[in-house]
Order: sequence, then structure tokens, then C-alpha cells
Amino acid sequence: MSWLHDVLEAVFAVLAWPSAIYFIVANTSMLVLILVASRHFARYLRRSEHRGEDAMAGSPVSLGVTVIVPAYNEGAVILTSVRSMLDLRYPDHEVIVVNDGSADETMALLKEEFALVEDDRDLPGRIPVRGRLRGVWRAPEGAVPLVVVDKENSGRSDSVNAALDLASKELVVMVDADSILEPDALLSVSKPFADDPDRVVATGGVVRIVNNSRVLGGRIVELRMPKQLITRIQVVEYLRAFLLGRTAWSDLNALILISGAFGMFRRDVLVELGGLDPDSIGEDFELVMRIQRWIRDGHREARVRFVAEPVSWTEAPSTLKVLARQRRRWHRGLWEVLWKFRGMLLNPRYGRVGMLALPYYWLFELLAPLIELVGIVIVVLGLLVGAVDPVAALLLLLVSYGYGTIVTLAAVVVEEASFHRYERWRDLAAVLWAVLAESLGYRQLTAIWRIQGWWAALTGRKQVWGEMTRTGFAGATASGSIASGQAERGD
Amino acid sequence: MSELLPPELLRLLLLAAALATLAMLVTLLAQRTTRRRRERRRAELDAIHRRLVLESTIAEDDELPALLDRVRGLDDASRAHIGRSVFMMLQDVTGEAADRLRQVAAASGLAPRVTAAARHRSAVRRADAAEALGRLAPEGALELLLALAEDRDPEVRTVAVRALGEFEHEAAVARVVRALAEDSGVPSTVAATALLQQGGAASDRVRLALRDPDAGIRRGAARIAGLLQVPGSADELVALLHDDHESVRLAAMRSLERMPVREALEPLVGIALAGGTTGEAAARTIASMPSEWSAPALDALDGAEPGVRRAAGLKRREAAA
Amino acid sequence: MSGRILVVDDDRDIRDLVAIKLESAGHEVVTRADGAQALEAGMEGGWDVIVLDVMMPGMSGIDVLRALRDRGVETPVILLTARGQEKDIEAGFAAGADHYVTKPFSPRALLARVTAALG
Repeated sequence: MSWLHDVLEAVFAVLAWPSAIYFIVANTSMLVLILVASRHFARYLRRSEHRGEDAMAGSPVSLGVTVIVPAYNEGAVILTSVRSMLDLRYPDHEVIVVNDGSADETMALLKEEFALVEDDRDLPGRIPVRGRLRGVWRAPEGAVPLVVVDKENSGRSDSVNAALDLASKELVVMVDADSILEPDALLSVSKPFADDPDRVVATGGVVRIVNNSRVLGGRIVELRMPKQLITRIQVVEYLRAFLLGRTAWSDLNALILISGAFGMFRRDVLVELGGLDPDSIGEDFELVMRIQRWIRDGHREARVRFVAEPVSWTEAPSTLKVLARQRRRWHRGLWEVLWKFRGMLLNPRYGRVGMLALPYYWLFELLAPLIELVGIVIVVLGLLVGAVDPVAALLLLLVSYGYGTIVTLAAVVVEEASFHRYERWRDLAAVLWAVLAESLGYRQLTAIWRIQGWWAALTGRKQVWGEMTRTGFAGATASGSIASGQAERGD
Repeated sequence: MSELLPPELLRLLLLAAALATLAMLVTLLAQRTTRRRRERRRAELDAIHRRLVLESTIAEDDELPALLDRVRGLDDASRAHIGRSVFMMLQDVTGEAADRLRQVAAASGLAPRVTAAARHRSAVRRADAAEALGRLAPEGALELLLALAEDRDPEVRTVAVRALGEFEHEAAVARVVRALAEDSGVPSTVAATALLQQGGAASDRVRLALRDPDAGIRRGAARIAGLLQVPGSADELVALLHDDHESVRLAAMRSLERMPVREALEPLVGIALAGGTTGEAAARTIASMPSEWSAPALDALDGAEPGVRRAAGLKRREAAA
Repeated sequence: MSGRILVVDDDRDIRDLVAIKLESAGHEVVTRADGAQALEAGMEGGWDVIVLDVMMPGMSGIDVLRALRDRGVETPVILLTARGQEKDIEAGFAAGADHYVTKPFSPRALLARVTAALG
């Protein structure tokens, strides 16, 4: 075993300092992002008295919004979901549902509930759509502003494109059928467009976790902390990465990721860019990157903005199996998009996106699981054979997980000072335990899944993620298995 | 690594980490406790004074002075709380009840505080003051708001312009119209919404603004002329269909949907045939006009691009065949 | 004449402002804060008028109204809608509303509507 001892000692001697520095820089970057975000929230909260949202809620001069809802086997939730989207507080919006070749009664339910009639108006055909159209339907004149596209199964992105082609309003927003929306979601997310109509081309809203909350008729009635530890950890993760991280990137004018569960875009820009890429796994990320490239390639004034107010709630995976599938898919998407846009990396032509955001994503998102796992293997083996000094190991642990935990705690402090959505003392205790537990197994597990996803992408394995099994919302909405609208996609 | 790193440093790092963690935990607890205490205090004050505020909204003229005297006699914290409650309720009511609430606000001493805040050093406080001036409308509010509409901070100007929507005075209308200008720093939707709120009082100014040299003002005026049904604006709107700025043309089309004019059809057909999002908007405007007028125009759109045909409500070719 | 009136709004200020105005005119007022409770109360019956906010979390006022009418409850309903939400008014009438009042509202005008509905 002495050769292993010698090898590990040599490897550790070379890698120890670089990896310590890596973790310090990674965690410090996140801390800086959290500080940037906290400054944003402080400004936001001080302005709560005079934001004038109600004035705009009733204003007929607001920009019109088309809400696009791709639906694949959503029979259990589709009616509640469409009703709640039609009921959103906004002066001028229409809803376009795309039935993506569902095998269940999604289409029949819609036809019956809204007394749909055939929509035989011409089809613009500006966006290429792969799935064959079976028919276009609409609610009768004078009833609700609803159009339903019925087409053969071709995946979520292609469905969104089919709806985009028929959208008639200035803005479009993509929403998953099983998302729970705040009544003011459209108002919040469209506000940057109203404030700066000539420059803002895309906005993203924050997505939060709904598990265990009481939901009635597609709205949150009472927000509760999820029950399972792995979902609670995701609450903390979402808080740090999605709420605070993206707020900060937006303030730095280098936002490159908007969640597909709630992104709003100027329709003309989206049409010009050809809609979503149906071959991309990280289609939301891919789209925003394409918008950022479009901005730097000749539309320098345009802006992508993030809206921090909660707008959309989603069911997070509550079993390891589903979580694993989600993380593999995310990392695969991350890799494919970063690779596709590698020409922008460290390219000064692309400003902060190229020089700041992309390097961050490459170093601290894409490579993080690799470095973390290699580190763990070397340190654990090294300790076993006595090749690694325990003090040095402890130091590495401290700058990686210890510092990381402190940074996450800082995120919780910022949330407590700003939105404080979890009000009970018990919830606070649960959050704190989740902050700690994240480093004790969760991070390591997700690192493995992320590597697997990356590996699958590199080896070109056929993408299979099937249906995402979700446990239903408590309360009036149905429970059971709800597909993510992603299944059955051929390569 | 350990040779390079004395154990003392490690101890120091551990200590720093522990301290940072402790400090954050304490902050968390302190934040939550103070927030809860504040909320409790508010609920207590509410239990005592809410009834009084509500009663003021239904008080008869001869009962009101006694109510106001009771408010004046309260301690500072109670009066501040009442001022806050009134401020919130004024979002919800208009008419007589709102007038009553404004008198309560005056009695609670809120008005002088707001007036003073209009000159505060901090832009956030000035913006808050502008919002309150609009809602409470104390004596001299209009003059103060006109001044705040010229503030050096665009955010203050924006809130002031929105608040001016509550006033129908000519000076208020003129100032809001000016806020439509492209370089005003006030979002055009905010200024347009304020004009809509001023309603009929803004009509004349809006009609004149349709000819303004500033494209932003023309666009805003064109957007709301139809919503306000401004008399005598139809011809101007038709003329704006030839405006140099696309956004002005689009705004004029939206108004023509609500104020159909026959003369608009010819230019609209031309725009629709040119296609694109502007063409779609023109097609929608044509489709919204009375069918006896629009029929020939819709025939003319037969050869337009599919998106325009859809906006005009024309059938798919295979469906029509 | 006086009546039994159900007032539904998720905003406490509005509930209280409506209630005190109607009570001052001699009506008996019961308030509810969300759609589900409102439907339950509405089904119990015995109301002369229902004042119903449209935009509520959970069941919207329109949902409540539709459910009531579906179950044969014919009590006059006055909707409270936000200014500028014209489509709410259309949807409201389609669902069987009798009148509407826009917010911000004048308590006096609302009382007049209620009185008319009672008559």
C-alpha cells in the first residue's frame, strides 16, 4: 500500500492549496452575490409605500400578455390551472394552452369546460413547429380569452413554439400547467417592461417550493414548510441560488438564466430569435443565452431583468429518485448550453456576461461537483492510509463546507429581513437544520448526480427522463402522477 | 500543507467561523423577535382605535367634530397608528367616506408630516410624501406635487406624476402631459394612466398633445385618446397613422379600435399589407370596425401574410376552401 | 327596509368599511374572508344580498358566484371589482351577477346598490 500512500501524498501536496483557494473563491463569490442581492432588497423594501402596483393593475394602457401553457397529460390539474391563469389580476391577457398529444383527457376536459369552438383563422407560421397540428380551438366570442392548440406529441419546447406562433399580445410568458401562480404574478413580472419599455426584453420571476402548502383552486392559501428533509434543503437551495443569486446577477446586468417555469419575453424579440430550441435540454437557459448574445451583437441597450417578488410556486421532488433525475437533467442542460456558447466565454465583446457570469458558471457550477468529489476521494483515502495530515484535511473541510454553510446562513438572514415567508418558529428551526444538513450528504449526492448527467451528455447517451412523478397538492387539487410534459421525446 | 499552515491559524479560522455563525443566528432571532413585537403592538393599537377610524367614514356632519377632537387628544403613537390606518383605507374608498378619512388624517397630524417630508433630503422619503399627498390631498398638495414632479430624482417625479392623476386642475393635467415626453424619466404608462384618471378634464390637452413635436407625447396622447373618447381627435388619429415613429402609429391604431373612423381604413390596409407586428395591429383595428365599413378592407387583405390574416380574423386557406 | 347581507372580501379594511356602512343603515351584516367560506355561507341561505369581491386567493368571487347559481341560489349578488378589470365585469354578468361596484368604492353608492337590490 505504500505506493498508494506516496501517490496520495504527492497529489495532495500539489492539489491542496489550489483546491482550498478554489473553495474560498467559490464561497466568497456567492457571498458577494448575496450582498448585492441584499442591497437590492433593501432598496426594494424602502420603496414599498410608493410602488403604485394597484394603479397599474387597473390601467388599460398596460402591455398585453399572452400566457403560454404547454400541457402533457395534465388532466388532473388542467381546468383548475387554466381557470387560475384566466383569473390572474391583469388588465389585458390571453391564455394559449397547447395540448402536447396527451394520452389522457386533457383535451376533452378543456373542450367541454370552455365550450370550445374551432378556430379557423389563418396560422402565421413564423416559427417552425415540428409536431403536426391536429386543430386549433378557442372559447366562443365574448367569453374568456382562451385559445387551445391540439397537436401531436413533440415536447415542451416545440409546444411553446406552437403557441408563440399564435400569440397576439406584446408580451408572452411561459408557464407550466402545474405551477401555482400568485394572483399578481403578471403585474410583478411585467413591471420592468412598463418601467423601461424600450430596453427590457426579458424578465424572470422567482420560483419557490410549494410542497406541503395548502393550495385551493390553483392558489396558495397557506404557505407551509415542506415535511421531508430533502425538500426543505431544496427550499434553502432555491433561496440561495434562485432568489438571491439571480437577483444579484440581474443587478450586475449579467443574468443568463431565467427559469422556464416563469419567464416573460417581448414577443417580437422571441419571434425574431425563432422561439425555443426544441433540441436543447436546458431550453430556458439556452434561450436566455441566445438573447444575451443577441443583445451584445447589436442591441446593446436591451436588458434582461429578474423580479424577486414571489410569482410562481412549484412542486419540488420529494424522493431521491426524482431529485436525481432532475439534477442529472439540469447538469446535462448546463453543460450543453455552456458548451454551445463557449465562444462567449472570456470574450470581452460580451461584457459582463462573457467576463463574469459565464466564467462563474463554468468554474463554480459546472466544475464544482467534479472538484468536490475528487477532493473527497483524495482526502478520505489519504486519511485512511495516513498520507494526509488531519489538520490540513480539517482546513479544507472548513473552507469548503464550513464556509459554504455560513454563506447559506447569510442567505437565510437576508430572506428573514426581506420576504420572511415562513413565519412560524418551527419553520425557522427547520430551515436552520436544512442549512446544516445540506452539507451532510445532500451536496455529495447531488454532486454525484450532476457528474452522471454531465457524463451522459459527454458520452451522448440518449436522453431519457420520462415522467416526473409528483405528489399532488394538498387540498382541492387532484393528486397523483403529473407528467412534466417532457416525456416521449424522440431524438 | 500543514507545514505552511501553523495550527494557530486553523484555530483562528475556526473561531472566526464560529463567531460569524453565532452573529448570524443572533441576527435571525433578533429580526424575528422585533418584527413580532412590532406586529403585536400594532394589533393592540388596532384593537383600540380601529372602530374610531371606521366610524368616521359614516359619521354625520354634526358628529364628526367630536370624533376629530378625540383623535387630536390621543398620544403620539396612537395618532401615528391612526394616520397609517387611514392611509391604507384611502386606497379602497372614494367619495364622502374618503373625505371623512382625510379629515381624520389631518386631525392625526399626518398632513403636516407629509408636507414636511416633501422637502426631505432622502429621495425615498420625498417619493413616499408624493404618494401620500395624492391620497390624502391636504391643503397645498397640488402645489407641492407640481414641485415634486420637477424633482431631480426620476423616481420622485414618477410617483408625483402618478399622484397628480388625482387632481383635475389644469396645471396638473398640463404637467402630466409633459411627463409623456421621451426624456421625462417617467414611464409612459404611468403618465398615461394618470391622464386617464383625470378623465374628461384632460380631454382638451390630450387632443392638442396629438400634434406635439415630441414623439413620446404624441404616442401617449394617441394611446389614451380612444380610451377617453376625446372629442375631435379622430382626424388627428388618422393623421398619426402616417407618423414617423412606429410606436405612435401603433398607439393611434389602438385608439381607433375604440373610435372607428372610416377614413382610417385606407391607410390601415396599406400598413396591414406591409406585414409584421405593425401590420397585425392594423389588421386588428380594421377587424374591430363596423362590418359594413370593414368588409371591403378585409377583402383587400386576402393576399396579406398569414399573421396579418389571422389578426384580421380571416380563415385558413384550406379551411376556407 | 333592512336585510341580512353577506359581505365577502379578503381585504380586512374593505370588509370593515362595507360592514360599518351597511350596519349604519340598519342591515344585519355577516362577513367572510375567502371564497370557500363564502360558498359555505352562501349555501346556508337566508341572505337578502351578497356583496362579493372578485379577486380573492383560492376561489375567486366569480367561482363562488358560478357555484352558487349552479346550485340554484338566486340571491342578488353585487360584485366588487378592481377598476379597469372590465373582463371581470363581463365574466361576472355571465356568471349571474346582478350589479357591480368598482374599487376604490364609495360606501354610499354601494349602500344605494344594496338598497336597490333589496327593493
